[in-house]
Amino acid sequence: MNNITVIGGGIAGTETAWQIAQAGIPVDLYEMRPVVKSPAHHSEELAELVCSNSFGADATDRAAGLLHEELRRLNSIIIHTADSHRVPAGGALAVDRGIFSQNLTQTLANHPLITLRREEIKAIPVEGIVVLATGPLTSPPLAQELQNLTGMDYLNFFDAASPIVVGESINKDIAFLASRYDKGEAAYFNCPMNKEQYWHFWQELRQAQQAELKDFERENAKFFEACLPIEELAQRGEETMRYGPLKPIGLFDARLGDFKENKVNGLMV
Amino acid sequence: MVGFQTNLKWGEQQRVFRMIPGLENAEFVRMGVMHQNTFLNAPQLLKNTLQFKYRDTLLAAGQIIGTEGYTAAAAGGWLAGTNAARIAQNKEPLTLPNVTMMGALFEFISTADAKHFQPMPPNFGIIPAFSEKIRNKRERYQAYAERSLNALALIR
Ligand SMILES: Cc1cc2nc3c(=O)[nH]c(=O)nc-3n(C[C@H](O)[C@H](O)[C@H](O)COP(=O)(O)OP(=O)(O)OC[C@H]3O[C@@H](n4cnc5c(N)ncnc54)[C@H](O)[C@@H]3O)c2cc1C
Repeated sequence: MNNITVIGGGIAGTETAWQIAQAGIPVDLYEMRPVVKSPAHHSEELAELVCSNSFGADATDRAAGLLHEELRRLNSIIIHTADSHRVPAGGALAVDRGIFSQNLTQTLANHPLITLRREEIKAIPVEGIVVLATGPLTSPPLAQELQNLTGMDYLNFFDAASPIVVGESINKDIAFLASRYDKGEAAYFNCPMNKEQYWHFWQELRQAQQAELKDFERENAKFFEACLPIEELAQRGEETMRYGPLKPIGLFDARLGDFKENKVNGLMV
Repeated sequence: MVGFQTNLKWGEQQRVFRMIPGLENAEFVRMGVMHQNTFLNAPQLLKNTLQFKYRDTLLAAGQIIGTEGYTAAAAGGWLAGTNAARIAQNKEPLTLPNVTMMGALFEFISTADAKHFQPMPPNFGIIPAFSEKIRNKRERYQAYAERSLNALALIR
């Protein structure tokens, strides 16, 4: 049988290669470290935990915990190894990160059906079955190739993510469902603010504390301009957000009338 | 929250954003972050089996498909590995039930609004609701968990 190719020996790639081998199929697992370094990884082990040593809450009435339990029942090697090298951490599944990754590296390297190749892949093989698992810091040549393969719009480089809130936890006595200019389905909850509420929010936002960026991220911060953080908009002036995400245009609420005429600020959640 | 990408500290985000009328008691599934993160537009490119739409023999898993977090990466690895093996054995690739956290996650990334696509961590908001709502949150989540593990027992 032809070998399956797995690109990237991080958390996803390690699990992928193991499941393929468990099915009795030979697999080539390509990991670029230590030949090529990543800006966030520190070792040459497989499945290195780049930051925290915690997999999140472990009770099944928590989202992470339910996922842990599903994976346990499906014989995930990542979760089984985490369980074996667990360290006390309240209700969370946290591990001794060094032993965790070393153990996985040895287990995979010793598996007769897994060939661990320390090589950077720069182009997706056109033949055979291939799994791509190169993570958030996919090496630049491969990222370039993916961009060529899928088109510019299909690949994001900088994650400037907005918070996500649970719909059920929004107070519907205040927020209302609508789309700007009534286009399409009413798909957003809008939170109207009066002038005073807006001013108060703006004041707090511009003074709120920011998180530190990593060095390698600061270099790439040029991606910021396309997608400015809300606190940055707030710092540019009292009115700036009202010309951006909080623009009171094209929104109508039965209780408040047209936003623009009545000087209400809208926010889509 | 549309247009609210932010680099504020997480505690600050909760404090300030809960000042927005209607969000006083908002529960955050994911806080805003800014960090380097290469990820594909999964809704346009991938099926819920983690195969690419344009090439059945190419699959992807982990943060690059827009799932967030270590455990989600392991989950993607499990499905991509399982399906790569099934393809090699000429078996139908597996789709996980969408009442499981894994199934819901891959359903989400393959069908989300492509224009606003952002990496998604595991959370109960993406799991289909019960027709009759269970009011108590912990009881509701426990019921989701039971339904998921029962559905999972039926596959394989
Ligand atoms: C700075 C940072 C901190 C994070 N902190 C956390 C956290 O605390 N908790 C959490 O749950 N999640 C965190 N995440 C998110 C995410 O869960 C992790 O990034 C996780 O490791 C993703 O798993 P993965 O398998 O997709 O990628 P990775 O674990 O990064 O694995 C990808 C692997 O592919 C290799 N690779 C890349 N390009 C190539 C190539 N061309 N050829 C061969 N090999 C290649 C890399 O060296 C790496 O080993 C963080 C992400 C980042 C960027």
